[in-house]
Amino acid sequence: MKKILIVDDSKAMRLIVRKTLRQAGYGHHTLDEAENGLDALQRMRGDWPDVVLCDFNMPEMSGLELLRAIKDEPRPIKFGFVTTESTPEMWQAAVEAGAAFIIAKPFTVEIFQRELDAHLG
Amino acid sequence: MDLVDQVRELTQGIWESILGLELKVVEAGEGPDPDGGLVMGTIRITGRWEGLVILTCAERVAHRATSIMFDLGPGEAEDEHLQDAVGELTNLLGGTLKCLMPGASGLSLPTVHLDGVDGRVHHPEVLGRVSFACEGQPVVVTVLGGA
Repeated sequence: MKKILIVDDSKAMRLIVRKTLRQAGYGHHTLDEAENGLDALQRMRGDWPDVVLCDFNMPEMSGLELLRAIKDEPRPIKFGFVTTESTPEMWQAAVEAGAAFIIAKPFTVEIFQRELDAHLG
Repeated sequence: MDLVDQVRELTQGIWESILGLELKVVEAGEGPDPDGGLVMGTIRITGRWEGLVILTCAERVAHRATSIMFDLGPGEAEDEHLQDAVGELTNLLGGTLKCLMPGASGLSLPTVHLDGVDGRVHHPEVLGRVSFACEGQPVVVTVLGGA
């Protein structure tokens, strides 16, 4: 069983991600939520997740800033983005920062399974 | 495909995938009148191309969308839920439309006005506007340039 952290400033979107994870067959994993990058960083320091599903644009600390903040962390993690931001520049920045996957919103259960099976299956 | 067609397709796709609701295109000016007030979400696209995307919908649509997104019963949605849900729908629209605009590189956080009025929109150029009906209530997506 893995620990999954969902990071998004929209509570509605965090609920949708939760629901989609359950529908995709990942409901048996432990789910936690954070409302922005700073909140996520504080939670991660107390309870390190195995997988992070993170929005890109958020107040306080963006998803990219969060990923860069943990880049020197030795503990393993699969960090990915679930975001409307899907320009080539954004994808390149995300991959260069170490993103393991990028899921574009709006997404489907099948897209979640395709992108996350390798990390959660 | 021109901008209006792209706006239509993207908005209908978001409504279907996120809300499971159908959006029917209606002729501008011939759409249904809202029962009650309007709710407006705006989001700014920045970069070498600058613009504004505005989602305007009837209060009833906003409440319906909020109930679906938060899994609430009728009448349970409060203003903070409405702000979040309409903000996220606006964010989805802005983000997907941004990819269609050459030179667009940044996206603001969405702003939601539950009274349907954004006094800061100062008549920039209307690049595209699509009017819809959702369960008999109006939804309009407007793309402005040079905001």
